[in-house]
Amino acid sequence: MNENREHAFLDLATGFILGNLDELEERRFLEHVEAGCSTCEEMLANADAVRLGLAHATPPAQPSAQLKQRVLEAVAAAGPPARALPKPARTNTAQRWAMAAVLILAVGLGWYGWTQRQRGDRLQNDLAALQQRLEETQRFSDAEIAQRDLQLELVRDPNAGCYEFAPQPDAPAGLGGKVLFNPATRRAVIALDNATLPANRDYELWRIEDGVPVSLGVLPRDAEGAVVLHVADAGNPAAFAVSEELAGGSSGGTPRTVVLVAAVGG
Amino acid sequence: MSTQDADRAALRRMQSGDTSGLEELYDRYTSLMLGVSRRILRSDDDAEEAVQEAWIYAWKRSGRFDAQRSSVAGWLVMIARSRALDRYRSLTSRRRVEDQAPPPEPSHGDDPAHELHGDQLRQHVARALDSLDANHRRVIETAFFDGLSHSEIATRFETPLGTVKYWIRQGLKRLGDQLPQEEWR
Repeated sequence: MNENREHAFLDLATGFILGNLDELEERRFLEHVEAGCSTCEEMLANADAVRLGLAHATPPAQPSAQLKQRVLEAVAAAGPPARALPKPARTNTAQRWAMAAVLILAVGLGWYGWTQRQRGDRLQNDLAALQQRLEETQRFSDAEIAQRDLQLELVRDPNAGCYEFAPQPDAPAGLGGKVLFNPATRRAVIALDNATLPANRDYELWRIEDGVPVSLGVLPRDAEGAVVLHVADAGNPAAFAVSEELAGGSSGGTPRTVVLVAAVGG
Repeated sequence: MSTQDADRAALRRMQSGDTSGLEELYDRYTSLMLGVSRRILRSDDDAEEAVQEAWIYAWKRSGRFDAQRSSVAGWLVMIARSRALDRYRSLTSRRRVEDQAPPPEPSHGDDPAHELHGDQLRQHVARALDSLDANHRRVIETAFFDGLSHSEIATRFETPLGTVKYWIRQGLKRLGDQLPQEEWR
């Protein structure tokens, strides 16, 4: 783990201890810890003591005599607790592609209505975050400025959808990102965080059409593992995927180890 | 049986739909949860509403409790804190809250009320907090009780973001080192 990446996770660690991570951040952080980060694990060892210590630093308050009865009545009305969900088991590559296909189908059919309702707020937040990130870059060549203009145009395009990459079982802890895609213009912007790899490895972008992966090229990344890529023609995919490959990308035309999948419309 | 063992046994009863488990935990932790909620909301009525929501949430989600990541007490406190912050944010304005009761005074090791209470743990916590650099304590309490992110704290205190992160990290480390890891209640 390089220093920058470790620092990024230490911010997540303090946010976790103080209860200020959103669901996605918390999931990413716990995956990172479960992947074996001893530094973060050490910080978490004190989390319970810190939280309870802060709670005990406030004077306790006596509840009203009616509160317990109200709670019991509300609980009776709520019905039995939800059963615990089992943790997902690790799967092989073929199973993961099958699962991704099922996921895409489920998202496309069952969740369509829900996603439309959620899409407005989520898209707005995602667009704002992407726009901020794009605008944070300080120096560009003329060619880079032209690229950024195209990306910002897509960010502002109301027809574009923003889809989150779901980490797959072989994804390194912390790797994540989003894809912004306009099916009308077929243009896409890919943004990844923590895309660090050894020098002899690369991440490769794929579009999945009719269940077949088609390479969109190797993803360029900077020294800190950040990726922002504009794809002029991403086709009409049901999903995007990122795979880890030997340096230079896949030689056989199929992904080697899929680490991220984003269902379009999901 | 230790308190933590008793907590886990009560939680298991909750998970199976037995309200006696909830009642046992309610009796043990509601005053603590209510204290946190009141610190955030500064209103007894709103604090009770938030704690009621917290217990309903805890009942429904008891199956998601992860004993590897938290004690039952810590889990309940964080649920109460979260419900209180949600309620706080849903209030129409900060003014509406601030017009109500003043916030409870923070605890201190030499607070006579705490001496009378005879709560050694609370005194231990107060001493640990008092040992922190004032800035470290301020940003940690703001993050926890106001639910602010690092950048929001930096804006509120007009302090560079990197400094805020450093203060929080150093403060949490010192606090974690000083607080007891054993039985909490």
